[in-house]
Amino acid sequence: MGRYIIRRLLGMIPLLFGVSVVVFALIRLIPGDPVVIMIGAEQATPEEVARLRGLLGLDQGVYVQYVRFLGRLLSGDLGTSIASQEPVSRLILERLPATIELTLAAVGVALAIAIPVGVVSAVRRYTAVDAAGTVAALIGISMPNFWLGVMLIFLFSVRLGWLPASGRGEPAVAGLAALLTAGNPATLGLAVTHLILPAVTLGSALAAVITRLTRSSMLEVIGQDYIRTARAKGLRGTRIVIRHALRNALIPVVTIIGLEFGTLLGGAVITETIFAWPGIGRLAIRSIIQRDFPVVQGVVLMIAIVRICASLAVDVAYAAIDPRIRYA
Amino acid sequence: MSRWLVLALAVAVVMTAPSPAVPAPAPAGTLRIGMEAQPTTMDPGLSTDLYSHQVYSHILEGLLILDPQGVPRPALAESWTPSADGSTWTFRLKPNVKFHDGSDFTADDVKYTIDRILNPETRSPQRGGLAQITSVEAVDRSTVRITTRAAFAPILTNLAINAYILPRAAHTRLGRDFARRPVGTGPFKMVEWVPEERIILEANPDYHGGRPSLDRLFFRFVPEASVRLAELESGGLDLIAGVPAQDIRRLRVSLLVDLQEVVGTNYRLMGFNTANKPYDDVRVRRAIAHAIDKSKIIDVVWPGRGVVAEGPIPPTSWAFDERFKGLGYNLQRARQLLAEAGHASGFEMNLLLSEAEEQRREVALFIDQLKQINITVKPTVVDFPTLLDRLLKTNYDVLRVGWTTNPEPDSLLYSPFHSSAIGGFNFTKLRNARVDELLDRGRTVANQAERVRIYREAQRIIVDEAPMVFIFHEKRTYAHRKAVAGFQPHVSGWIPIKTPYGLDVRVGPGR
Repeated sequence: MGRYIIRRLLGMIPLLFGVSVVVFALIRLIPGDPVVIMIGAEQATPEEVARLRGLLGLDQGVYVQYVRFLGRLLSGDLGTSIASQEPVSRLILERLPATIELTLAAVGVALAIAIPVGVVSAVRRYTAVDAAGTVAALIGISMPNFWLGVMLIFLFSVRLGWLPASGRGEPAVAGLAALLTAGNPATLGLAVTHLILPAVTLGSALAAVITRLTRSSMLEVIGQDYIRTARAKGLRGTRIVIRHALRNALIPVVTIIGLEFGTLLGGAVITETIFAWPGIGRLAIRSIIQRDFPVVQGVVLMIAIVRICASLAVDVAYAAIDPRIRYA
Repeated sequence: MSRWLVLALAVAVVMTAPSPAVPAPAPAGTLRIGMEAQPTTMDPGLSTDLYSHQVYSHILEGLLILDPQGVPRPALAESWTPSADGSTWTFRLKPNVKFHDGSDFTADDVKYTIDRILNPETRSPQRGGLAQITSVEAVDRSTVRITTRAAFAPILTNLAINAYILPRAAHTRLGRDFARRPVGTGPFKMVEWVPEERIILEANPDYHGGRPSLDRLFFRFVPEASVRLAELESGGLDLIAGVPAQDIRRLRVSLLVDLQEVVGTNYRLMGFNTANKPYDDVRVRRAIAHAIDKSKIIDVVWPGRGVVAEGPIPPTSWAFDERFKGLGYNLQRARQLLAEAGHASGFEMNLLLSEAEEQRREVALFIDQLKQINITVKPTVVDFPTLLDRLLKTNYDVLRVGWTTNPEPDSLLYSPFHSSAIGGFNFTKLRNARVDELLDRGRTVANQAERVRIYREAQRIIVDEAPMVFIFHEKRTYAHRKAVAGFQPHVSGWIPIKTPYGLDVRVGPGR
């Protein structure tokens, strides 16, 4: 297992190299000058623009800029933001935890809804419960999450006043820490109330996908011989469903979570904008608008790393769920 | 099981950010402000963006400050006098002013701040506004002499905008950290900045303009306009900048919220590349200007958010000419001009515009209105940085763009219309000797009444030359809960709270 993980980690290097080339080229292929945007239209004289371009090294050839970028990258330096003159790594690390928190919460929401609904739909196939689950899943898949987000805000914040409309409040981990060390639940409450709406918004599409997947996967497993054997042994229905069927039905679900994790990170860009969530998505949007090349490169690389790590984590999780799977 | 424990711990480590104290739910004396975006930096030398300014302008101050109408007023300077030739200004500094760290504010800090911006190594985007300065001299502790290349009247406005005064000692000590932990002389002090989430400032009890009525300012960054308004209406925020267009009419009669509007110092325009045919012919340009029904564009696309532009100078500018009428809607005149230019049967017009939703809706009206004079509009939609790039390379025939500046008429007119700016922001390539002469004179004359006459004449010639169709001036909108008192909208989109010229926003009971 250890050797397998190391091999996979080494395999990331050429992949990330490819990502760096693509993002470096793409952001420079689209027109737009970061210096003009930074100075602001009314003050940008051609001399001023040329001077700043020279100081920032933007007047050099793209190859030269790339080699410099790569050289810095190898020593762990993502460069400096053109807009704020702050280190890119700092800008990213300050925001990444919020994005990961939101994404994990979205996965949590999706699983909490989807697995019970999927299981019940499978066990009670072709009943009203199953039909309702199917309709709900279709709605979940079809609904754009920017629309869902705004509707949830309107209902739960403006009309009912139950939940805050935007912002993060506090990090959930800080809330957990306050609860465990000082026995103070206020921070965690603040964190959770802020987290609910964006997590539901981001997780709804995934919940729909997982519901359908759990249902079909369960149906397949329930028809297997060993389930019939278990029934023949006289085990109780719920025990069969949960211990024997669900555990095996979950393998494709884990796969899809791994694959969808990257999609969720992408979706987080929109959800973060709607809910003013202080994550990496807003940094990405702003830096693209400002043509802040170093920040865009850093964000894309970081998302690529997170995505690759997620797929690795999924492969490792297979082994935990299915004892037959072993990596050498 | 231990595998999961390790995973959980790893996640916990990743997610543990430094956790600040939980903000209390809006105590009396706290004003919660919703901004459109997060500031880039609190170091005013490093950024010209509006959002940074909306926050650091409460912490730091310039020698002068622009009031809500854009007129320079005293801030850290008590008074100023120009030399006879207008090229040297002597500023008397306000005595007994202290920075938040307790150190004295002196002429030395002024010199340090401006020299730093002018130093190319600083890479300051503020340099353009101060580039005319040749020397800054600390005559004594409370006197500063600033010399410009030639007489340069806009320097007062530019000093107010581009030169927020840094404490030399603290700035040198903090270095790059100053951008997160600014120290100034302003009415509020920095308390906390959680990236993308909030900035908290607290009142400076020793402020030289008197202690602010508010105890705390709490800034949140909510990019989505409808969500910003939802926060305001559900009580999560007290004041927001930038109100969603579709809600403006409703808010005008709201019982909960006051809408505040002001025409900004800007113009929204359709510009012609006067080097390309047929736009090199002034008759064609005038014809198009006469064919566009500006009021209809405002009514359909920008209801309640704009006023018709007669020329580039907006009604909130001190150079505004209330008697001046530009090229109004007149189809007959438009057809006649086109016929004279030999284009009675019309032509195809390539129109470049940005992807902003309103601009795309305007296109339908342009197509319809210009069809009346047989011109077929072919729109191309690009993102804003691309538009700016093609504008600067004059790689277009006709484009739709906006020009937003500080309230100084020099900024409204010089770079878009002076021939020396061709290759820069004179993107229509207008070349008119009289306009050049007037815009140069406007920089050197110190007499305000004389400057008003100069800019009004320049506007008349520019509108007549019609390098652009001036469509409308856009309003800046703010909304706040009724309990907020004393707020005034600012032509530049700033959020003035407590100022040396007497503004002092309060939050009453019953929020």
